[in-house]
Amino acid sequence: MSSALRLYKQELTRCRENFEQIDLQKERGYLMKFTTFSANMENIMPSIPRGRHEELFHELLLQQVFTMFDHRCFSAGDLIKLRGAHEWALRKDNPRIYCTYHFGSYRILTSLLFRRGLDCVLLVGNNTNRHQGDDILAHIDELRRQRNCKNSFRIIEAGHPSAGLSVLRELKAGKSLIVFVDGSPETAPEANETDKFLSVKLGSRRVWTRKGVGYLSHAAGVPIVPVVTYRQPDLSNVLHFLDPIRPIRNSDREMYCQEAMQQLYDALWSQLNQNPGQWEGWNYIQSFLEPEAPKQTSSGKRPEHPTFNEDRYTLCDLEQAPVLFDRRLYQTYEISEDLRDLLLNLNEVDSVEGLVGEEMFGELVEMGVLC
Amino acid sequence: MKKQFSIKPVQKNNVSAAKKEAHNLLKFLKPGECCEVMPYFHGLNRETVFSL
Repeated sequence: MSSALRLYKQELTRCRENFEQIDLQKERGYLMKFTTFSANMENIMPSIPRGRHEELFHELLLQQVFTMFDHRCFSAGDLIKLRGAHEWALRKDNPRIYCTYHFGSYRILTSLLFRRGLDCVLLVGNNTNRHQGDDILAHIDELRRQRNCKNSFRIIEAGHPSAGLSVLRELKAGKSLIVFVDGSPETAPEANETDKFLSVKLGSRRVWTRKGVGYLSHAAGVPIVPVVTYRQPDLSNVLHFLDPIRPIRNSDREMYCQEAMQQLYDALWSQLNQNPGQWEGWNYIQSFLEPEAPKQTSSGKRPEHPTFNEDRYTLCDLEQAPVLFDRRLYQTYEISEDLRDLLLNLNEVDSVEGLVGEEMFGELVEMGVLC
Repeated sequence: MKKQFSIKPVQKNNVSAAKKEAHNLLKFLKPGECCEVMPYFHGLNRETVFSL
């Protein structure tokens, strides 16, 4: 093992040891963040039992610490393992659209492409640029200084009105594009943007995804290269280059967009099955979920011996105030302390309806809180 | 004392415990905000970019 690799693993091990000292449940925001993560995982990947969610959530938080470390540690980019069609994908002959995900140490792809001398354009959300843009540029500047890289690098904000046109111009000028196709909280669909999105299958649900990448690939005749970054148990980073998705000239653009985006999400799904604790999207994918058709929540009959519907609702205390979270519809309810205590101790009450009153009982049954 | 049973959805822009908690997500595990340990992680308190 090279001394850099040994040092790198030592540093990450130290990161892990420090991380393990944190009492996460005492951190403000932990509860809501974990509950959202858990609801998302359950709705999209129900094969993972709820009992494993917290362990996977902690794994994700640790991965985020490692990702932060990698972004600042210059040597991390020298130590990655390449898999799949990387020889073709890293050629400088023609531009490509590298589509990646918020998976593993996801910033390392940008660093690798720049190190390999590719002229790159990174497409990010406006907020991401505001919060992380300077760090990304500092990393690139340092590469220029230390490695004498002469190639170009530019960040384009996805929310800018002329972003599509600017990217198209760059692709036609021979520059490659890096895009995170799984979105970010700020790129979730708004009510007036439905024409910019299409629906793809992800596990047990369908999600909305922006179709701009497919459109750009088709319009510029540039292939899409799906890339997944993940971390192995031995802490090394792997960049897996999947087979390219090539646009066919004069084919139907909408159909190509649908096919290409579905293939990109199939690649994500395949990776999620292997490393479910490395995808940051679990924290915000609810903003992209296609609504499900309403299900009949109750038979209309009032249950004689009501029980709390734990499959659908989670009870928690936020800032000492009790809250009920609907894991299916992602709605939070503030409830009184007496109602919280009742839901926790339903079996100790002779008549729930008699205690809460007919109207409240009916409401709780209708909402599916009681079943 | 008579028991109080109430339930109300948390609306956007509503100042509530849940809303305040949601705001905290932005700070969650960010150095210097809520987590005292994070800034001392080896490597994170050094210069912006470094080599091993």
